[in-house]
Amino acid sequence: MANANPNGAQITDEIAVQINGMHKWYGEFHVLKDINLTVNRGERIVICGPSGSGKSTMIRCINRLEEHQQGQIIVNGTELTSDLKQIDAVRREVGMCFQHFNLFPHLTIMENCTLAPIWVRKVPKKEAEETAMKYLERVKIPEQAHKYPGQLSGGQQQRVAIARSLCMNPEIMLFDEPTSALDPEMISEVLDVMIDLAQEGMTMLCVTHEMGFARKVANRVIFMDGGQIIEQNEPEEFFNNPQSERTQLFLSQILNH
Amino acid sequence: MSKAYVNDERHPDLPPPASTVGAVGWMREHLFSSPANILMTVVSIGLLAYVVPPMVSWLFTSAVWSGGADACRANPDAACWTFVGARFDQFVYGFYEKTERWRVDIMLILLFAGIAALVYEKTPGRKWIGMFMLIGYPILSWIMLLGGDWGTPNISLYNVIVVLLPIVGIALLSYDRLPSARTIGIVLTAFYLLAIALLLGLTAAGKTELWIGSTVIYSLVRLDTIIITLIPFLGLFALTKSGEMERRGTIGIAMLVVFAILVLGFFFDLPAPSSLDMTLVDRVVVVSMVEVPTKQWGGFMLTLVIALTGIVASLPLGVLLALGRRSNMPAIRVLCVVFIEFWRGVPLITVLFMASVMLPLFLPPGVSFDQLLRALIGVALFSAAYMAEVVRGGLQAIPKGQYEGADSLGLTYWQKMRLIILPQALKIVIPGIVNTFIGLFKDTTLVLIIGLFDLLGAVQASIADPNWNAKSVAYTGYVFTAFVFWVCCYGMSQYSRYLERKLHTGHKR
Repeated sequence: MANANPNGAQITDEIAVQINGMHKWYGEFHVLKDINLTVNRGERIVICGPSGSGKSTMIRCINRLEEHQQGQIIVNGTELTSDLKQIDAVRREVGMCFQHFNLFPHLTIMENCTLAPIWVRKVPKKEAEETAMKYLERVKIPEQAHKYPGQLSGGQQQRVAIARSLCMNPEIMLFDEPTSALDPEMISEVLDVMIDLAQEGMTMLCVTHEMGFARKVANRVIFMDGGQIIEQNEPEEFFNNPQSERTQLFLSQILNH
Repeated sequence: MSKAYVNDERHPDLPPPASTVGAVGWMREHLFSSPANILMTVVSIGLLAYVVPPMVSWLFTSAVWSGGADACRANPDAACWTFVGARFDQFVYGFYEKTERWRVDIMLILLFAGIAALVYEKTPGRKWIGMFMLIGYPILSWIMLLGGDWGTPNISLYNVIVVLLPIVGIALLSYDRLPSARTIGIVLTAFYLLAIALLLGLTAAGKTELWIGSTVIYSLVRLDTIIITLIPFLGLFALTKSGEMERRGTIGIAMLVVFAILVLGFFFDLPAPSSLDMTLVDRVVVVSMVEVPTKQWGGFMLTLVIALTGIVASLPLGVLLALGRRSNMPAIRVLCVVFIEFWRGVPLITVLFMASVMLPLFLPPGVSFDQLLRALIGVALFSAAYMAEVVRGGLQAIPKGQYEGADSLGLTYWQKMRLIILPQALKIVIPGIVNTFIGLFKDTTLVLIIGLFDLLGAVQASIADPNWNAKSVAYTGYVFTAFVFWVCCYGMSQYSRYLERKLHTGHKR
């Protein structure tokens, strides 16, 4: 799946994220155990699993919101260590959407979207605003640009959060349960934006329980439990023919109601 | 029974019942809603009827508005406003030189005009006025209030260029979007070499000064001065090559600050490191005024000096301390905790005593600095510690998601704090910040015990005057002091409430 990247030539490497033998502990608690994962450029991966299985923690390790204690994480050819410069370099190229959006409530939608390009990428303000408008149009809320996040619905806020990440022109997007805090009516408007993004070839890692989304866009579905990757497969295989017992149980619980 | 009740028409909106709106509704709800409430209303009205008429009589109707001390002695049961009128100047200026009080007036007018301009939202250039009030105004007030001779060294054109070269160079190169930074760097380096060549050449020719008419265009500068300024410039210049854009900005700004301090030091005649001590021909006195030592400062003016210094210094210091206390770096955290807990654990009176009596003991002999300056530093550090805890409360109220949101976008620590966390945290703690300001404003009266006469001190000194020994004089003096303090504190409190409303941008997540 070699997709054209909007940033063009600088990408020679086909691997977007590489995780080798990664472990993480919260104090005494061993949250992530021997994670090995390779994500190719343009690949869309859905990560699911019961709560507490470590799926959010894993994707949060990819932009170092969580620190891993053992093993290796290489994002875009940059290894994540305690070196702040490397961390900032990775974060510039990796966008993230959170369950609770984490928009900045004291800034307007426009300011939310232009802040990082202006301060991190040093883009002139006017240009940053044009880019922001482009992405706000893409997530279908350009008319809200001058409102504050508190004045928007949950679905709109999540779409702004996606636009805010896109304004940084990221090569990889991480989604940490982007629809779990939304009312049922608003889930589809967010999923539509994500599907749209997937179809353009963005490298995506999504922690989600939206199995319809997984079937539609994922190249690979990963099932995690107890801090380990239990199973990974193409969506059709994964849903129709799950291998491990744990996966079967999980699927029967989330699909049968 | 076959058909359930269904609204098939839209029901019109009706006005609310008359008894719940308007004055009647308000009174029913707030004054007479329950038997207990009715009782409280009646008691309150009774209390007001008992207290207000005598108060009005004491303050206004039977008060002494004209005449001298005798009029007040004749009417001991009413306010003696003539006393306030007669001593008003002392209340405002303390023992400040009478002929020089216009300087205080100018600074007071500037202060009030500045505050008014800042409070009114539509003032053009509010940002610049704000910067002036925070940086320029304190320096200007110190010069104006203290007086004496202020001037610049009589520097030759050559000296000016040698001083400006690194400043301009560093300022240019630290702007990280500067086009053709390298060319500019090369041109400036060439100027440097020229300056050094000129210096060496003229020194070799035995000349230390060059004059054109009555203007000195060249005077000897120590070579090490040039070299010391050259090194940081070359360092920055080297960075243009490696493309270290962000570092360049930070380093450049740090250097500019150092240079600014050195240049200011020059202006203020502070002792500079000898190697930077350029050879001066003479000094040009720009401003010359009668010196009014801080011992003579007093009254409301002194109250303002202490309170405003404390307010202006304590907020940034407090923010830094609060950030330090929440830092991941143990050394910084411990340092901040120790600092905060030390100052919070000590009463302000003790701080003032230490500053005025004990500090000189620790300084090397011959070094001394102004009594007022010491008190100012004490008050600023004391209130900074309190401010730090208030700000920390705000920082802790910001949800973790905001930090993560900022981190995920690649903002650096300082960008994250300045753009995302602090604006929200400070907004939350506006009431606490203003509370600290108000506390500080009132605590300024404590400087009385180290022999500085603030407003309260000035009033007390006037009351002790035997010419004014009337029963009502002391009461009037204190009522007046209380009123002035109340007006200032209530003003701050109202402004903070206004700010809270203005900065409210809907509920947050």
